[in-house]
Amino acid sequence: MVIDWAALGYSVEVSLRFTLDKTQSTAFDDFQAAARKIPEVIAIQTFLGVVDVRLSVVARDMGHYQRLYRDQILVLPHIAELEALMHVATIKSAESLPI
Amino acid sequence: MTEIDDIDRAILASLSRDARQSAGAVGKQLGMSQPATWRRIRRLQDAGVFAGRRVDLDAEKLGFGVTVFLGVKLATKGRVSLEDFERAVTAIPEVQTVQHVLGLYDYRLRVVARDLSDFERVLRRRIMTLPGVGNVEANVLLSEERLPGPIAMC
Repeated sequence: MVIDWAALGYSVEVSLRFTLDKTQSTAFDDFQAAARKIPEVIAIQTFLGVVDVRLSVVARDMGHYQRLYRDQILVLPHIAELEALMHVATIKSAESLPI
Repeated sequence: MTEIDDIDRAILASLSRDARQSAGAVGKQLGMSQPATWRRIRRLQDAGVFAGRRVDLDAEKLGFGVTVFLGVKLATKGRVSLEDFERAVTAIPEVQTVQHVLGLYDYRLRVVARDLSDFERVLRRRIMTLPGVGNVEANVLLSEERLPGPIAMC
């Protein structure tokens, strides 16, 4: 079942894109293990490209997001750089395949 | 906004793991009767908490080995160009999701392709030719993990 987080009062959804400090060989594992412990994280993706890891995070409002960001996100291990994209709207969401 | 309690959370956590379960099966896990569980599921449904059901297709087994996330910045802005872009981008079959975002990019696209050369075709013929498209950043998805979110307390 896919949950509509907005209907549960989580009106803020943010994509956090991280580049990690890859000089640490355990950077990815440490980071992912710590991110899994944050309840507001709804997805973890890893990439080949400019971005190493992306977290989808939901929050009740901007105040909640700010607390979450300061107290739980910024303390994640091995962060080299971090940038946020705030979701405005989902225009298309069809996870079907062009078969 | 819907107020939910711990029992609702447990029901949501269970159904988000497997949406095919009957109310009886969910109730059994929580030590509740089928009718009581059914009434709660019904209430959550009426409140619009369920956005839908998802069948997890194994894209790789179906021949789609590459998933790429594109960050797209529009070159020109204005109401018309946003609508033109959105109309054209949603019509591309390889584009699975389109999200309007605030930040470094204007849109975030999830694109599937059979392999890297197929992706190149999609990128060149379909994405780069979109109306108003400016800077495009690509990141190839290596792994994806969906978590239950802030309902998992049990």
